[in-house]
Amino acid sequence: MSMTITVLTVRQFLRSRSIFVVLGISLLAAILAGIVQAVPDENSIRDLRSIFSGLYLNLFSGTLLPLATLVLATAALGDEIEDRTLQYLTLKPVSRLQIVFEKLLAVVAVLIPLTWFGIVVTWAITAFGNVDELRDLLWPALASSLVAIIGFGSLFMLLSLFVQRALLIGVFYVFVWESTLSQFLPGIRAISIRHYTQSLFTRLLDDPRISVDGPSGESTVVITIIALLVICTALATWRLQRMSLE
Amino acid sequence: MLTKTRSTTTVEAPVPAMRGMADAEQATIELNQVSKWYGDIVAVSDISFGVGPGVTGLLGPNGAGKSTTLKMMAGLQAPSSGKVTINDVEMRGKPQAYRDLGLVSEHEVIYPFLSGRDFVRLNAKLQNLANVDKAVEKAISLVDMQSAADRKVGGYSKGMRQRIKVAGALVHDPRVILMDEPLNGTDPVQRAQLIRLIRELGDSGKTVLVSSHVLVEVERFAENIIVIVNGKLAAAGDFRTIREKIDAHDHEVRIKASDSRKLAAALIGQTSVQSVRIDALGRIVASTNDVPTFYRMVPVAAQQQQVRLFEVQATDESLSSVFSYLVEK
Repeated sequence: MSMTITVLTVRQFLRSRSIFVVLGISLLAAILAGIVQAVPDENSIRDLRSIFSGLYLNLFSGTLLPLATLVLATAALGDEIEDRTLQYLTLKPVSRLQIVFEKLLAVVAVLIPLTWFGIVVTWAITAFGNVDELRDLLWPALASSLVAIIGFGSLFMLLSLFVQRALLIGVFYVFVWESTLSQFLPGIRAISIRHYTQSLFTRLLDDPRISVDGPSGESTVVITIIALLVICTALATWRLQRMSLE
Repeated sequence: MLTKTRSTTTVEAPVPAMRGMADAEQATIELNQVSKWYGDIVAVSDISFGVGPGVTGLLGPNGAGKSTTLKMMAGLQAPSSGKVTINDVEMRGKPQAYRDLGLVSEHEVIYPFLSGRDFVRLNAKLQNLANVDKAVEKAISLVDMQSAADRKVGGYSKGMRQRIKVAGALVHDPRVILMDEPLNGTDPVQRAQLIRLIRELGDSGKTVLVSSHVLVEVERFAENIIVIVNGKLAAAGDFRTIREKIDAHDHEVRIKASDSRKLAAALIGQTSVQSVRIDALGRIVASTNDVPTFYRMVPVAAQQQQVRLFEVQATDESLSSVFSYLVEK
């Protein structure tokens, strides 16, 4: 695979305003962490661990990661359909599966550095002066964020092939389903990507003081996200094969 | 070979644009009872024709269904009914078939952050060509864009974008080339270059189908034409035969000149001119029933009157009327 489409899509992203929107979203938690640190109260190490894990579990996993992913995943194919450049890819001896896969790869490739930057900055501000005590929190956050990026990326790219206002519907989904309903309704929790992101974070951290309700095991998380990726990619490929293009 | 007869449409049989029967090496496009509708709107209605090697013009007024027809040929859109094949293959869902097809769409949008060379290279890479660099340079030189190839496409003029799109469509040396209004936005020099290229492609044995709504433009490169009006096939076959029928009908031509009144006065006395008026924008609108003589006479009259010509073009209403006349014929 030449990765020509991935490289093209990364170049598209790097020249669009979306990249700044994603960066801004990723750094929102860092601003909150900065405000907390600026308050003159003395925070214990336990407080600081709770602050970072709270920001990650409540803000990053359910709101910021899906929103950042939504911006790029819906643009990857949706923008090309809208401005009619997708035909430069579809009128080539390239399978639709390859187009979908390479587009998703570009989304992941751009999101990883941007969201990880936001997580690392948030962690660095929270852990300022107590790096050793909070070091173990960082890698579970980075690793579990991959689950969110792949899961939401697959889902939102598929959405952009079925509806015209994918961004708007995606925002509604993030705030209603992932951020609100999945927090309070156990049945919905199991079918929200947020739950699997949080589960992996707490499992990898292995700190009994930081937990979520009914966490899934690591293998369940991995299998679920791979299944979501396969189903969404297959449906997106099917859709791309059948849709009329301008 | 397809022959189609409708109650109001007589399509000249057999397949147009065929320079003799196509053999196994020759590329052909065939449409068999093809229709396309969007909800209640019928864009293409039950058309059948075939196209073989050489240049064929796809002629019709704006909104006639030319672009929809080309999109169905390229597999971008599925026909609502009927069958479209290129080299006996239905393009939709068969990516490998695109090794033999190049499409120049009418849309101008190209990735603006790419240079012209990068855009052609993108096309070459996606075609999995063995020698990408050589193919890219050859395609760029075909459209005479060497000097501007390293500039960003976003800064190109409309004509330059058209030419680089042509280079992108030709980079893999396809046997079948579809071009949707490729001369739009080109200046006279670029237009002449593109027309020469189109003719050379046809002469080299490729199957080239070029859509246009400008009759005199198609005349310069196409040996055969297919005329589509209101989504229906109005005529197909040898250009001259159809041209004679078209010329027998009254034409309305709009002329933009430096001194419309002076030129209009000179036109009134000409035998090929039936009527002359000046429209609200100060342009001459002349009616003629002898199109070839009229088009030869106008520049001469303008020169004699020392009037500069800016535009000489058939009005859209006139074209629709002429094409509709073909349907009725």
